[in-house]
Order: sequence, then structure tokens, then C-alpha cells
Amino acid sequence: MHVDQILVGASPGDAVTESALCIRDALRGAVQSDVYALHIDERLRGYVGRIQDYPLPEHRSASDVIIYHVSIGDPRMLDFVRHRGERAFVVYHNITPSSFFRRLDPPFADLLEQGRRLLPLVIDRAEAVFADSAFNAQELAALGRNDVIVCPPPLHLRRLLDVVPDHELVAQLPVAVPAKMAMFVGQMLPHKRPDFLIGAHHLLVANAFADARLVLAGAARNPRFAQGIRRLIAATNLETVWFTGELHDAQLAAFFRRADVFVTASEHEGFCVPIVEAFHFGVPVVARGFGAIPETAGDAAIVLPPDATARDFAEATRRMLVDADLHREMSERGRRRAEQFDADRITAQMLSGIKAAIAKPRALA
Amino acid sequence: MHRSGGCLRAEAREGPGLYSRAVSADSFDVSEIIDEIREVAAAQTAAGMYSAEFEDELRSHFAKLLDRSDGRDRFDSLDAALVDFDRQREFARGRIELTSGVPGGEVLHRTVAKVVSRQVGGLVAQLNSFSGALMPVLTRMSDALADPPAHVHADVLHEIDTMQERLAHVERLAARLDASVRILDNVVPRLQVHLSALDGICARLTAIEERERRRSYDPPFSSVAFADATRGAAADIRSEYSALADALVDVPGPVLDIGAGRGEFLELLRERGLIARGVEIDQELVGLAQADGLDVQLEDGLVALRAEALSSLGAIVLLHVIEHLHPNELLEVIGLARERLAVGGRLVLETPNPQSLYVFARAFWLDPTHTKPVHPTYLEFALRAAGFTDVRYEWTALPSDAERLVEVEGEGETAAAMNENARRLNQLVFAAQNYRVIAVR
Repeated sequence: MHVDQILVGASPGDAVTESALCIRDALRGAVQSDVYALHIDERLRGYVGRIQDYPLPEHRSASDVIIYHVSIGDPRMLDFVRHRGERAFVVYHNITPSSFFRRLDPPFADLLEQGRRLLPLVIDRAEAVFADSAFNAQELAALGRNDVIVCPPPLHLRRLLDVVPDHELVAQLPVAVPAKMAMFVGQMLPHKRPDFLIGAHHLLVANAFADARLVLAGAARNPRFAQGIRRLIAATNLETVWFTGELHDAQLAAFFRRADVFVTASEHEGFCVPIVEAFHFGVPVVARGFGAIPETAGDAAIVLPPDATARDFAEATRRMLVDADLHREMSERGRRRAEQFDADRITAQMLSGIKAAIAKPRALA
Repeated sequence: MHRSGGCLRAEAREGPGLYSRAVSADSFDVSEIIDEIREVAAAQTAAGMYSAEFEDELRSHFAKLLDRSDGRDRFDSLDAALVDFDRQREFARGRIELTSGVPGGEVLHRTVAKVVSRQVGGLVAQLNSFSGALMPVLTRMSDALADPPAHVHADVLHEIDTMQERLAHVERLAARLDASVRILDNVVPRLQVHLSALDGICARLTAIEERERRRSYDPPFSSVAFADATRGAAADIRSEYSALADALVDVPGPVLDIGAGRGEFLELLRERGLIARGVEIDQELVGLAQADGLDVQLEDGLVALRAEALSSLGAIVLLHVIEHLHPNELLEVIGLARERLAVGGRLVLETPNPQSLYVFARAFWLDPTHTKPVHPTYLEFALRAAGFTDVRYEWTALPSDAERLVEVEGEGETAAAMNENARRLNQLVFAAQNYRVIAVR
């Protein structure tokens, strides 16, 4: 029996790719399992197969399963799923609302919109649907799908704890970060709202911690947006903001070990992996309550309501930095919370969900 | 919270806005803290600490920054239209429709064309010159729209950027000042404590200096006059030390005379052809020695010794010096001498003999700068401890017979006992007034 997974893009460090590989490894104990993708990062060649190399329908039976990870819309993938005879399951990681990209990158916004449009078709075709979060499940419920199974992404989020921090960076940090450090991890994209973080940081620096640093760690996926962020930093004269670009694990580990607080102003998250990574390091989190962030953070973070202003955010960060009791308590709660996302346990749960779905008689699409 | 790491069915009625119910059973409630944070932020905004307008300003500025790089894309279509216009405005006979659906129509077209060609030619020429003039105007307008910063809006944009930068700078400047003031508030009281402690230390230092000043011996009379009045004539000194000078003729290097005084001993050495120099802390004595052409410098003996190279001296002479020194200084002199003397070099120390009580009655306390007598046994011990193995004594300046107790003549027990007592008393009271130690390295 074959249970394969397909995704649009596969790249190292990407949560969707990593969780697919984690599920594949677990499935291989019982069935044959591979991961295929449309766009594959060079570093994953050999680990992830090209979608055009997917075995022909005649080599698969109607009892085999294709698990389709949905995180962006691509009509080729939908066509693929719809025209295969295997059973189809879907894991929904959410699709970023196109409005964030409408002015900035119209073709990408079109792609996202298309994804949204195609989503009902994908969901209809799927016998079983999994979602990273209740937030994601709720979106599917709005499409009339009420049997969604909620399961956090099976990821080895502890792994950074075991990574030896980058020596060069560790040596550089005492000079580069002489005082308190706030840290954000995520792609530099509009829905992550790094501009909001910069505004809040300006208020923090202007009113409480003149030497505090804000580290923005993440790949500049959209050059124009990244350029805008750099201009904003320059325009506000904030030499205390450090825009690092994409980091490898050893650098990330070095920053996490140094950080005093993790901040995210993101307005759309299907789960938000970096929050859990920060929890593992005992770095308290200040965030805004958008998307799946409230349920991922639980009561282990300061999650401000969506209407919170940059002033509220700056004040929350300041409070976390000055209130040692709060800092300690949130740090402890974070560590406890992180344990709930243990990769082995979640993988086992995901696996049992998949097995239960397989055990059900095949529903007609 | 309907999920705690496990796979549970989502229920549509439970939304993502869970944070407000994320109440902990632990010591405090996060939602209460969030309420508190927002209250503080509101209060600080009301107090003018956080600027309420700042966020809107920043957001619109950011939108402007994002849009700025957008300009060229939007005007690409205008550029294309201009290129097309440029191509179209050239008069081309080929673009004139000659075909006709009417039979024989083409012949008619040509005929009419010939008839009106001059008029049309004039019209075309006018149109061409008009579009030729229009083209640069349109091009300039297109350029200006495509790149506003380079044209009409440059100054305005620059002004806005500058104002943003200055505003941000000023806002943080106040914060830095606040931070500095807070630091100063913290530091100043501590500095004041230190300063008052410093005042106490200064007062104590002044008292110590005053005491030191009072105790430092600085007589108003000439030390030379005092020495002349109390010491023997120069000739006496010469005869007293000529044997010592003779004994130093074969030393393996130059001689350093510490406490050279008027230079009498250096003169004896000079007469014997020895290379010798002296140091003396009394300015007047130095002047006298130098007047005699002797190499005597105003310098402390320990300082001079320290400055000498290792194993460089043939002899180091201290005649009536060590009784002026603190015990530590004496030990330092001995230690340094051991290092600075060449192998075979000699350290000569002469000092009043504390084993002669006569010394205390006459010479020793005559000089108020004598601190304490140095016992020969102690001196020998200290020399050997410093590494000198060959240590010899000489006893000098025996009190004259006129001073010493005389023995009685005659025989018998009484005379013998009296003479024995006289010898013992002479030994104790009238022993040599000085002793000299010569230690060889």
C-alpha cells in the first residue's frame, strides 16, 4: 500500500515540508510512503520527488492514498489530485489572504486568491481533512466541512536546543547587542507586519530602553517589501534594529539563547512555529491575537487583542523586560507549553488519524 | 482551549479569540496582565509619553516607502504608448488605404489622390510639425510622472524624509536624556557618599602630612657647621680611613660611596687611582664635595643602588650611614648590594659599636638623626642571609687610654681582682667606638 504526500513547494526549514517528511518517516513503518513536490529546493533533491515523477495511475490502486498539503493555491496540484484515482486526504495549513499582497505583488496575490477559490474543490475531493489549528479548521467549517481533524504540525521543534550556537555570532553578540534584545523570527512579508514591530520598537527605545535591540530574523522573500522595511529602518534612524536576512540553525540558536523576549505582530498564522521554538528556549513571547496564534500560545504568552496598538505592544514588551516575576513565570509556562507539541506524540496522533481515515470505507467523491 | 496538543474535533462555535479565556490556574492571570498593560499604555499616551499619532504617521510613511519603488512599473504602459505614438506620427504613404470594394475604385482613388496631393501634403507637413512639437512635451511629462523624486516632487519628498528622520531622532533624544537623567539620579547620591568619604580621607591625609612635616628633621642651622663642631678635622678622618682605602685598591670595579658627606673618603680613593663616585642627601655637603672636584651627586642611596647595573660595582661603602636607616631600608641596601656587586666585590659598612657603652655616652646620641644602633651580630646574620659568605669585622676608634680605666700596680688578690674588674669594664664600657664589616661577594 502507498500513502504519499504532495506539496507545492519543498524547502528545508519550511514547516509544511518538515511536517510532511516527519509524517512520511512515521508512515514508512507500516506502508510505502514518499513526498512529492512541484518546486523543490536543491538541498532536498533525493529526499523529495518531483511531482512529474509521481508513479502513473496504472501503478497505483484505488486503495492507495494521496495526502495533499494545502498552503498556497496552484491549479496544477488541484488538477493532479482531481484526476487521480487514489483516495485523497488533505492537510490544511491555511492560505494567506491575498489582500496583504494586492498592491505589493499582484501575481502572487492572484495565486493566493486562486488558492482560496480552488479550496472548496480540494476539500470536496478529500475524504479526510486535517488542520494545523482550530483556526484553520474553522475556515473549513465555513466551507461546510465540519469533520476536520485538528492536529498541530508534527515538527521536531526541540531540535534548535541541541544545535551548537554559531561561534562567530556568539562572539559578536555582546558588542552588537549590549542591552535588552527583542527577537522576531519569520519571513519578511507584509502579513507578518515587521513594520508594526519597528514602530513598537521605536516607542520602546524612545520611552524605556534606549539601547534595546530588535532582531528581525528571516528571509527577505519579497525584495520590494524587504527594501521598504530597510527604508523604514533608515527613515526612523533606528540603528537598534538588526535585519539579519535568512539564518541557518546555528545562528538561530545563538539568537534564541541571547533573546530577552520574542515578539511577533503577525496578522495571519496557520500555527506559528517560531513561538513554540521561543518557548523551548524559555524566551517569553509577546504577540497579537491573529490567526492561530492565541491557541498555539495558550496562556504561556502575552497575546494582545487584535486591536492592540503599537503603544500597547511596546508597553507589553517593556513590562516583560522590567517585570522579573512575569518574565520568569512566562518563561516557565512557555517551556511547559512547548512540551505539548512533542514531535513523537503528535506524529503518533497524526498517524492514528490517518489510519482511522484509511480504515473507513472509501467515500465517493 | 479545545486543543492541548492532541487531535480533537474542531467545533465551529469555538473560534480563535481564545486568549481572553486563557486563564491560568497558577498565580496570575495573563488576561488581567494584558488589561493592565493596555491601561498603562493608555495612561502613558494621555500623559504624552507615547505619541498617539505616531502609529498612523509611521504606517502612512511606510506605505509611501513601499509605493515609491512602485512608480516606474505604473508608468511603463505610458512609455510604451509614447513609443507607439512616436512610430505612428511619421507620415507613411504605405499606411494610406488604396484598396476599394467598388469596381475601378482603385483608379478613382489614385486620380483623386493626384488631384488633392498638394493640399494633403501641406496638411501632413503641418500635422508632422505639430506632433514633432508634441512629442518632447509628452516625453518630459512621462519622465516626470515615472520618477517624481527626480522632478517636481523631489524637494517635497526630501523634506518629508528629512522631517521623519529628524522627528525620530528628536523623539529618541528625549528618551536618551531621560535615561541619562535616571542614571545620574542613581549615580549622584552614590557619588555624594563617596565624596563625603573623600572629604574625611583628605582631612586625615592633611593631619598625617602635618604630623610627618613636624617629625621630619629639618634644622635651621647648617649641617656642615654641626658636623664641623662635632666631628674631627678632615686630617683625622683621612688617617682613620687611609687603611680602608688601601684595602680597596684591588676591587673588581668602580666604588660607590653612599652617604659620601664632604667626600673625604672619595678623595682617598682618588689619590689611589680608583674610579669612585658618591651620593649624598645633604645639598650643602654635596656642594662642598663637588667644589673639591669629586663626583658626588645629590641622590638617595637606595635609589642610586637600584639604578646600578647587576654585578657592576667593585665596592659599596657606607660609612656611618646604616644607623640612620630604618631596619627595612638596611635589609634592602644589603640585598641590592649583593646583586650590584661584581664577584669579589666588597660591601663596607661602618657604624657605631653598640657593644661599647661609651658610644652612647659620647657619640651616638650626639646626632639626632641616628635612629637606632645596629648590633654586629644582627648585621652579620643579615649579611649571611643575603648570600654573603665571607664576612669580616674590624674594630676602630678605641677610646684613648686617658678615657679607659687603668689597672693598679702591685700584687695580691685585691690588685688582681681590681684589674680584672677594670679589664671587664673597659671591655664593656670603653670598647672600640665603631665597628666595620667587610662582606665579600
